[in-house]
Amino acid sequence: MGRKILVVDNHPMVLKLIANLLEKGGHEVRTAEDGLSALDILKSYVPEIIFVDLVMPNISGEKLCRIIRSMPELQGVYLVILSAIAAEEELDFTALGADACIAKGSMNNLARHVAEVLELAGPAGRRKKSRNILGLDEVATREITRELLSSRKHFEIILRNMSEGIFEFAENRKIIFANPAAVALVGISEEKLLGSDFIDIFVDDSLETVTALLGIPLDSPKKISEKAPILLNGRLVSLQFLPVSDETSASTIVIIHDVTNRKQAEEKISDQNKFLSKLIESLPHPFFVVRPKCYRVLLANSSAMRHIEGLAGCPQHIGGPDSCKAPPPFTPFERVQQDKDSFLMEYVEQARDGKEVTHEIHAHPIFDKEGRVAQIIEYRLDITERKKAEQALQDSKDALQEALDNLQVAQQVAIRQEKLASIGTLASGVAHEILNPLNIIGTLAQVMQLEKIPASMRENLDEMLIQIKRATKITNNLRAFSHQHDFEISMVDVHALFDKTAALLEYDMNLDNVRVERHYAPDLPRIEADEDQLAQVFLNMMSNARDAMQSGDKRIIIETRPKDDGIEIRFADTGIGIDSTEIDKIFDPFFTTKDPGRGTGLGLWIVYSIIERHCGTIRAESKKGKGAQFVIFLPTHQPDQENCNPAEEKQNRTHGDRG
Amino acid sequence: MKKKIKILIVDDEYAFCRSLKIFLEKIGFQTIVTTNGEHALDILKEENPAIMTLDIRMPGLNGYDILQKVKRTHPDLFIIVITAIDVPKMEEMLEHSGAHALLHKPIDLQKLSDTLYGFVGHLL
Repeated sequence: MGRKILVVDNHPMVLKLIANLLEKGGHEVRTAEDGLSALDILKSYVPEIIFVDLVMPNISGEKLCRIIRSMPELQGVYLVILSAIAAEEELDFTALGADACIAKGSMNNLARHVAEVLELAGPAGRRKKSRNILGLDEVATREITRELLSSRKHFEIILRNMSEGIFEFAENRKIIFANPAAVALVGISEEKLLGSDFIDIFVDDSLETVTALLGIPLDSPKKISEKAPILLNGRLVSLQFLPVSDETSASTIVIIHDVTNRKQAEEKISDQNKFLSKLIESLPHPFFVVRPKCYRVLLANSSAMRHIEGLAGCPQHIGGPDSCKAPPPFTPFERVQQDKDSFLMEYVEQARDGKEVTHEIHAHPIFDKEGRVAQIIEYRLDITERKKAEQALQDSKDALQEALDNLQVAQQVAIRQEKLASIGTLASGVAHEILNPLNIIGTLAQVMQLEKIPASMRENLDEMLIQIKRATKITNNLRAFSHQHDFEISMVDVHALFDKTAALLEYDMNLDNVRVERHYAPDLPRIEADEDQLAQVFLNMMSNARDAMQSGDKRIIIETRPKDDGIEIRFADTGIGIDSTEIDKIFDPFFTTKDPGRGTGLGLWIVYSIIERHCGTIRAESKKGKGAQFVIFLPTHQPDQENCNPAEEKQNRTHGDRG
Repeated sequence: MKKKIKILIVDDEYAFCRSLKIFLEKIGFQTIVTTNGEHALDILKEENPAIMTLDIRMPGLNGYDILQKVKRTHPDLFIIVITAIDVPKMEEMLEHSGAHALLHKPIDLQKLSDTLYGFVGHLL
């Protein structure tokens, strides 16, 4: 009974021989010259035995075997491999799913082995597998074939292991080869891929692109570049189409790169760059990045272009051309390069509208892998307003402090004046009330002296008059303050005034053997002062000095000189000096070291008060037993009376050097 | 006997007036005393003294007031102000008001007599 047989061999002679042989045996024979044709036939024809040539163009025998074995409807088929290279390549035909293998030798042998196979293939259920390759011992090894096979093996290994997907399709676009990477990429089994239309692996837009590309005859390499990759099974791929042709056939090799990861990475970088550009752009402050050394601008935001002279037209996005040079100042760049650290400075410049603008310039290094400064970031904060605000704050603080100082001075002056005024008022009233009875007593005493009275009584009357004078003196001293509101300023020649005052005391001084030495500065300016009060100062100073000198060398030395905005007068004496424990108290009212009856304790207090009234200062320098020196400073001009300098006020309280 | 020169003593302290009166009469003057300013003006009109000693601070019409009034009515009157008041520029002020001399209390009688004789010499 005849059997259904398919013979696949690209060699027409072999095909014809076997077909004839089988047809003579009464079998139904179909033939195919390559794998693709065979697959076409198998779509509608189910043979019992298939003969497959191992070495064929398009789909190889091996692949065809696998495909056949993967087809459920062909489960029972008896598969026979025809190998022309059995002598050169060891073949485990059972691994390919084949039941038998015939080594192609002479035509006679081939016919004999076909007959043997038909025996083995017997009716279904009784078929036997051949254990070895039939006719293997009848073929001789050919060296050239071995070498070719060896080199093919190398290429196969390469193709199997390369990461690019490789397809080959025939002129009718049917896939005849797909390497494992291609299979993996497409996600369709090799068996299914082989023989199917190449463009069927694409869908939608990708399908259109590939269709359009393959619509025209492919006579030169074509490519779908990675710049515009297409989708393949959810991956982004670039494709290279390489036409391959020889005398007999033409096919196309397709190399597929999976660029998904790279594209994703690129996209990520691009997104990040966009994000950074946007971020930098959104900064209201001028921001730019420069290359070290040459200071070429790599990037500048629009604020920088608007506000910084010379930055207009600089690259606004990351990676733009670095055409322009950074504007001054270069100090921040230099410092960042030198210190490899951030740098901050304030920079004042004229803006385009001519106004002065203060910028706070921040510069930061960006390092490369080796730790060198690769880029420098600079951004500027306009702190003009802040500066103004700070200045205004400082000014108002200063003004406040000044006001406070003035207030304190005014308060001190007020307290002192109030004190003086109350003492003055009291003194004035008391003085008048004391002087009147003193006057009456004194007058009566003098009238009594006109009478004829005993000498003892005359002496008593003299003593009475002395005591009246003493009481009068104290009273008048006290009263000096009641006149202080009558402060009459005129231009005073201090030398002339001193001479005049000294003249009043000349008699007393001569009597006490006191010499007055004058060291007058020739260029001493006249000063604004109350002449009477100043005369009072000189009188008191001289009386005081005289009283301090009881024996020995008795000299009063007055020395004048211009100083700052006023004059300095030094009164020195060769007297007993002032004890360091007392130097603080000498200007206090009612303080005296003189014997009772000699001093009122008001002399220096009056001096102090008058000098203070003139916004001047006085201090005492002395050592017990070595004389005393008083240093008086008086300003040339009298300010408003309630407005003396507080520094002088303080100095005033430091009475002297305690040595 | 030559007619004595008449001095009007004006001071609200009677004790002082009295002691001054004793002194002035002792040194040869005729005196009239009053402790009241208004009264002093009346006496000036009636008695027409050549000299007046004048206190400044007095109840009622005070020394200044009197100076202002007599400056025109008695331009020849020699006025010596004797006061316990002592303020700066007082002398100029009094001079301007018509006083001829200023003596401070407690008074030095020697100075007073010097002043008086100075004036009297001028009269003679």
